[in-house]
Amino acid sequence: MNIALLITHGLFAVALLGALTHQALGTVWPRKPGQRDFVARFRGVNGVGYTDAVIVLYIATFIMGGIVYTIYRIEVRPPLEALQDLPTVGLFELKEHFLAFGLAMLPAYWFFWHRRPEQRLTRTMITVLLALIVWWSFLVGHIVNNVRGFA
Amino acid sequence: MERAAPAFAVAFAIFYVLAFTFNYTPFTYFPALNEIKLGVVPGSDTVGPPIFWYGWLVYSILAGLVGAAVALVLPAKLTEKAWSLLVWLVPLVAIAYMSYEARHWFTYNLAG
Repeated sequence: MNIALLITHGLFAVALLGALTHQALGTVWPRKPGQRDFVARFRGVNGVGYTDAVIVLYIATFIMGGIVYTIYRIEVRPPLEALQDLPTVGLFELKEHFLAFGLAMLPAYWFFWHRRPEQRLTRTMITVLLALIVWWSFLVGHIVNNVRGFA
Repeated sequence: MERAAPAFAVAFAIFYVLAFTFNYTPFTYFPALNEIKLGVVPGSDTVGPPIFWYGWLVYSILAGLVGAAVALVLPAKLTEKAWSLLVWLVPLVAIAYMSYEARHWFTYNLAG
């Protein structure tokens, strides 16, 4: 059951990562008319269309991560500390903190995408911060799982 | 919403840093026992490791709601521009601070 939850958590994280990366790159580096290469197409998305999906995916992934966290605390972190692999513990601790800050930004993220599209700087900064938080969390989750999964 | 949503993010981030620094939590969860104890309770060999993070989140959400309510009372015209800046600047500073606070995880073997 824990493995299934961890894998589902990871799959949701992949979807969230993809959506936020499309949206963030499209916001920071918009596609110009006539650009047709792969990177331009990757950026050429309707950013506002991703907003609700990002919020739902973020909350769902966060809740699943919060449940899996109990297993991490019992079965993963103590052996890492015993092995003096403290940098891995530190990376995961930062993941907890960053995700909490991201969670609190979601109402503002929704507001500035749906209700204040003219506030480009604010919308861009919130989106980029969320994308960086999700990228960090995704990579750290992988590192911790590779160092010591549930097995 | 224009003031409440950013104020929530700002108040949450500020209180989360305080909750982490001074360990303000309404409860401690012990996953090994599946038990919640009120206040800050340290872990041990018998009860296992404690989780304070859930409590920090609960307190920070409450602080965020209070911050949002206060923002609604403040004059809109004076504060609107500030919120659109603070909504990302405060979490960014909080992230930088937490990263600095976590440095001991990465430098422990350099001290000795």
